[in-house]
Amino acid sequence: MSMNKLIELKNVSKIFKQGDTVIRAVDNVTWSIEDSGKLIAIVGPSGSGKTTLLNLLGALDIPDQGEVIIEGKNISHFSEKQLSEYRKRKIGFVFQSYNLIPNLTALENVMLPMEFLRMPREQAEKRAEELLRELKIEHRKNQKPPKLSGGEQQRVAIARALANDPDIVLADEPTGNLDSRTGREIIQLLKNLARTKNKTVIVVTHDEGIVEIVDEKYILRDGKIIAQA
Amino acid sequence: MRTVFRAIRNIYRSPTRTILIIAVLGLAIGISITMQQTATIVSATSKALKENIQTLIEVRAEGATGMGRGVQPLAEDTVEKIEDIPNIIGLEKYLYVRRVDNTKKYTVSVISGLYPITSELRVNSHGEVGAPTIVKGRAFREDDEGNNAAIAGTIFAQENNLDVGSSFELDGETLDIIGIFDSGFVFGDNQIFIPLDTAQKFAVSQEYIPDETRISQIFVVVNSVDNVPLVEKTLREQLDDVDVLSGQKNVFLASEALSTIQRESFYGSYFTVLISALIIIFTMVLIGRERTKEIGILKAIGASNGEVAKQFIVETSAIAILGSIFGIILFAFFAPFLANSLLGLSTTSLTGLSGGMGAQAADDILSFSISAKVILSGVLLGILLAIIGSIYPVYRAVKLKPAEALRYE
Repeated sequence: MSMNKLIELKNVSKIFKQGDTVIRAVDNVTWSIEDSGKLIAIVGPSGSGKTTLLNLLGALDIPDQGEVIIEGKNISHFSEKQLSEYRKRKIGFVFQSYNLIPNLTALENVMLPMEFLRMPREQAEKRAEELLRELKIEHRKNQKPPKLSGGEQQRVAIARALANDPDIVLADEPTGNLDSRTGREIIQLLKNLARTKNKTVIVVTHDEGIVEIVDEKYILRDGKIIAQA
Repeated sequence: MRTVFRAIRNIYRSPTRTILIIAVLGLAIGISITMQQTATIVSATSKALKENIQTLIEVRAEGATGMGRGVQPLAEDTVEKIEDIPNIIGLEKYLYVRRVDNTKKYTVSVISGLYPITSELRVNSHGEVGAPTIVKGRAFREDDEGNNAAIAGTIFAQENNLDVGSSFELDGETLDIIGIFDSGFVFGDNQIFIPLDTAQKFAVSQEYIPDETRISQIFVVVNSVDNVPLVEKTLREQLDDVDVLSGQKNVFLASEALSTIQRESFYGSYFTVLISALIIIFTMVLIGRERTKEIGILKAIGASNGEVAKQFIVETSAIAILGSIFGIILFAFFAPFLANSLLGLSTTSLTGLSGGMGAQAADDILSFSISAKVILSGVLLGILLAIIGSIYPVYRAVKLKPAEALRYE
């Protein structure tokens, strides 16, 4: 089965400066993500550059050196509008602290990316309800985030990430704020989604316990991918 | 459209803060509108004062002031001499006659004859001359010339049981009341205005004047403000036994007072706009900083810079418009009291300076009301504040990189 390259990183580096200290958060990484239907984990300790790498993959940031190639184009040459179009259509984000909009209901949070896609309201509402049903959280659709538990909020966040039917879901420490049982449930959920919906789900984590569930694992240290398991 | 609703919902996130901001903003906008209105009305009043009085010179018999004025007519040839003086474009002739009726509570009245009949009514009170307001009926028209029409002061009418449409006898002549005026003075409201020739007949019969050609006062209308000093000087040189008085000095003082009020009102208005702008900028900067992470989230899930900017602009506009509405409501309820408190001293001084015209100016200044102009002013101020308030948060939100925003705590 031939797989499309969704994102390709060529000698990518991202550098931060703290006073006189230069930190290479991502250091000369060459990697590609394919249309695989797999759950991929990037594992590494705190400060190893996991979130920075994820931000580069999701076009939330642009590299200082090297190229991030999306659909054959280097994103360093993308306009702000092109970057937001890419994020809107191709990427779904799941964050450690869920990052739901607190004054919107669960349903409205899931509808938000579809609003940016100019999807008609009725259609967006129907799709949001379907996603919440799939994630077994539909009964809480009219609740606002502060009324939901951590696990419930993360399910809503996953539904939101899937709203625009992206090719890739990027999850930054999605279990970091959850107890281990709920964390495992969420990872299992992401794995099922990758399979059933044929999405490439990339999870960055330092939780060694969950990496057994994933399909592929990459180890990141000091900004470099040092191993694949 | 959904962005708009979302932005409007955002202002309820912190109801107490929003209410406080709208209250302070509304107060500032209300004061600003009040100041603007004050400045506008004062400006109009000042202009009217200059236009109405500055080209006018009063000529009366020497030493004739107050009630004594009516007894002393001007010399026979006064009008002829004045008519020969250059730069004069009109004469308004008055004859004031005292009338004593011991059967009434108000025993002393002044009968004021005027020519032309459409001349401005000038109430004669304690040496001051002022314009009364017609409160019932109408003013004189050209077709009243030669007829026995009369306009009575409120107290004169009341004490003599007269009303618009009723008549009274004056030395064999039947006079019909066509209007009732209020001068703001008890003394002034005890007078009547009638055509000059009728007043002259009555004055001769009462032996106030020797013949029916005499008058007691002339208002000389000069063609321009610049020529008033020259005409005034010429009048003094050519006329004997007269007092020549121009309103220029009083008008100058009145204008100065009005200009001060106008200037201070404008400064006050600008200052309150500045305060309002600072409030909204501070609020929106605070909200913008609070929402830094949220901006990052919105961008991460696909919001464009335009959509993020729109949210802030709508939110700022909603706060500013609510502030404007509250400001307009505050203006409607409290502006007259505020204006009275702010301008009370000045208008009192003004009234004293320029007689009836000053009283009119004072009334105008205090006549605040809700109008399309006030609403427009409030709304425009709201829009201006919304623009000012959105600039920085929108600029910051647009410039903010999503990854950077997501790191913000």
